[in-house]
Amino acid sequence: MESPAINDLNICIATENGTGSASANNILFKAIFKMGIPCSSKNMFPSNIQGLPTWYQVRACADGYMGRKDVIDVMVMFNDATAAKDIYRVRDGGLIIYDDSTPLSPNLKRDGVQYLGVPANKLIQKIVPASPLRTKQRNMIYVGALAYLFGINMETIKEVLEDTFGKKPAVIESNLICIEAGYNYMKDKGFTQTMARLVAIPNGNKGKIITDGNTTCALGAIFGGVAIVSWYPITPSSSLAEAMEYYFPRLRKTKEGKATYAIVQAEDEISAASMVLGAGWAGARAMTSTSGPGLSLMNESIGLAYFAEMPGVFFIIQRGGPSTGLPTRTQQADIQLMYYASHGDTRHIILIPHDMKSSFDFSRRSFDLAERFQTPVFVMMDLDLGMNLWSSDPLVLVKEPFDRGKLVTAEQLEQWEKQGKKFRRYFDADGDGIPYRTIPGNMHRHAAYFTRGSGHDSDAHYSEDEKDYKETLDRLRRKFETARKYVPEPIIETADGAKTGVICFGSSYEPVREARDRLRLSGVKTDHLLLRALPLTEEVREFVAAHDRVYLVEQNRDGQMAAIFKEEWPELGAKIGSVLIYDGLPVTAGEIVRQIKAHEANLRERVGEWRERKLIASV
Amino acid sequence: MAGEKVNRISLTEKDYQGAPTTMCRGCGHDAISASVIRAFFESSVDPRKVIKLSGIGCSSKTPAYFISQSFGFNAVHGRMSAVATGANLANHTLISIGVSGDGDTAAIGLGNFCHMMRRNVNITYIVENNGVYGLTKGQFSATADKGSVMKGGKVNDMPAIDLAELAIVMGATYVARSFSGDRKQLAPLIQGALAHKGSAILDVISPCVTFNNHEGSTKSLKYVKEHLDPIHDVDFIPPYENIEVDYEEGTDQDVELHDGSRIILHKLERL
Repeated sequence: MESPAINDLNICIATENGTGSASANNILFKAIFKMGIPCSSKNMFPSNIQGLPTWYQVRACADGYMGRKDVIDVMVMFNDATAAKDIYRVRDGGLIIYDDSTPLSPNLKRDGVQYLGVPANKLIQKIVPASPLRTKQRNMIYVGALAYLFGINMETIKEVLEDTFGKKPAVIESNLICIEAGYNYMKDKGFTQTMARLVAIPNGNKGKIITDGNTTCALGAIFGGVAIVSWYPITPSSSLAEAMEYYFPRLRKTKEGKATYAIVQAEDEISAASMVLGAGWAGARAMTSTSGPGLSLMNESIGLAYFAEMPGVFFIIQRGGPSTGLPTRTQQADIQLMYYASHGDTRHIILIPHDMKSSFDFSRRSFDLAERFQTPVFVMMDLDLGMNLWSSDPLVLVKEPFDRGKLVTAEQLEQWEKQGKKFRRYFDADGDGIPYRTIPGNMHRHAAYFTRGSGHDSDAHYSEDEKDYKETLDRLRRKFETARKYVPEPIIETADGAKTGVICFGSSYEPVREARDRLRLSGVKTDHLLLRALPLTEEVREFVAAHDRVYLVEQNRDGQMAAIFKEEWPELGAKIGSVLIYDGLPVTAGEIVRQIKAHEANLRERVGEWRERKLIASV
Repeated sequence: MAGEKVNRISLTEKDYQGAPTTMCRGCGHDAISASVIRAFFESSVDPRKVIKLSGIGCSSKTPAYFISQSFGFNAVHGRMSAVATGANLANHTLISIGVSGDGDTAAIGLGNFCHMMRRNVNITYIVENNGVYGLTKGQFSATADKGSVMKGGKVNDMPAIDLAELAIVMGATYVARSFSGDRKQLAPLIQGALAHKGSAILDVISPCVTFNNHEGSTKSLKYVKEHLDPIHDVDFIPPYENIEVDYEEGTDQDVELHDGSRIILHKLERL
């Protein structure tokens, strides 16, 4: 018999939503984390409050890969509605844990897997009196069962319970009893498995934190000096604004208890975006957070902010589209809607975090960029980054002063006038496309100007003159070119002599890292570029140019990012192959490897055909 | 100019003017701009502390035609109320005046307008109401009265939205209806709105002389004048602090009044 894998285990828990499984799953995940084992979790939940299927994957991975794994070792089958499919989600040789309070129906039996029954319903009836709590605590039984089977220390679980329910000893106690019931049942029955063991690593996760990207974005924005937040509830972005509601009173009140911020739940996304514009124009750092449908509604306001040059930060937590699509699943399919948001010729700055630290950091920096460029700036997130729990190194605050860009005060205007210089709101004095800006409340008599989304000249006067109009459009493009030097540069990793490049961004980073290691083991060496912003920069062009072929991994059907690359550098277009993952689930390394290998085989075949044709021709 | 009347902050009424108007000759909107200028002058508002906001449409162009020393913001169609909310949150010391039309407020921006009032945003919000889409050449708006006739003869069969009524229902804390041509009434109403803290809504009937000034229209100059029934003589008395003095018998006291003028009081000695 093979010896068990150490700290390498992928558990999938199938439950019904609204049954309290989220608490049980979090306790399980945090216990493994507390043992010091590298681990990650993915929540695949429905757009519903109660009664629809939900899956939660916990992955322990000694090698430290955090991406979702498609090969499932253990299936906790606690949802009858999906059981018939769930039994085939688990790998051959895997394990199925099910509630055997009633006998397993014959159609739920399959060969090649081990079944372990735990009578959760029966056990819970003995412990918890009939109440809504009973359903919720039933899920704690499988936590106990898994703890026994794979070696999660009960002391660790107790610590997690204390962390979670610190102020409610009764809740800690009642949950612990249920977990112990599952644990003891397995123990008494003498159940075992031989596939994997979880072994604590002392100080393994020392200093690490567990958080989600919506929280880190919220914190980044607060440390980035945001003062006005306007938002409208929409999954998966609501928890970002809610995190701000939580942290604002803790972090942004004066000693006298006065709020130095305002957060408004708007009547719709159009209003939310408009409030951001009003606040940004009036001099405050302002933001909103939304998802695809909200972004669609905000397009007109974003166009105004672009054309009339007002700062504002738009956090877009992408979900499955189009239309309502899959509100609780992940996608990167709003790239072009962000990049070209609004009618007319527009292009926007987009920051693309790929983990917790960068989402905190980029969130903070986005406000500097918005003010420097006097334009909407997007922070492109997705549900996987925003809502799943990630283990991370601690967030680091870069204590640079805020860059408020070319903001002119009354005193500066006074100086200017002494030097014979005039304030011209939309005049490109420096040749970088960025004009100077005043804000309302500036008491200089020549500070005021008129902001409008209609045609205007360099002095902010209404103009339909063709020269003025074209000049404005050209200057805005020039400003966008300047932005290339300001956005976060890509991160490049090279392997000696690799001719193949891989480019990815956002939540694809972790699975791509794993996929590249697997490809290397199978003889395919790859260099990697992590794209962290739009507009594209020279480093990216050089990377594509330096490789025979480049695989661009993105989470949409149409290769939206690849299209931006090809528009930018048509001459390099033929080198770019797309790896497209768009089933709404977090990306897996397995799928990336499969697609890249298919591309490579295809290439070999085509080269073969070409050689053959050449041969025939020469004959 | 010597002898020209100045207000408490030493500005003349001319200092409140804006760029030359581009409205049609005789447009009610220009008359409203003149009332705005009068009101800001009379109330001695510092133009540098004012923000002028508007949406899209003929009316929304007008903030460019008054108080050019103030910042202006011509927003997206229907969204001025939300933009104003954001600007107010960013800097509540600014004095906001919003100008909108009946298309901007009663149709595309109706939801945002209601929520602005619900939040009681501090703003003087003027609807220049002419019952017609002027900038797109003469379509009915949502405030056109049922039965009124379009320039081409089409009859409106939809009931009108009464914006003053709506403002009251939404809890606006200052609501008035006036007529563009009645400066004596409108200017003090605007002064009152400026002094009011919260959403002050002024529904001002403002005839469109080009697209809605014909027989059968209920918002033509003729029709409005015939049906004008001012129910109050409106005037504005600024809510100043009470001036109190306390001084010795037999001494003089110099008192500065709210309009900047001074009086010298002498208290007689008791015999």
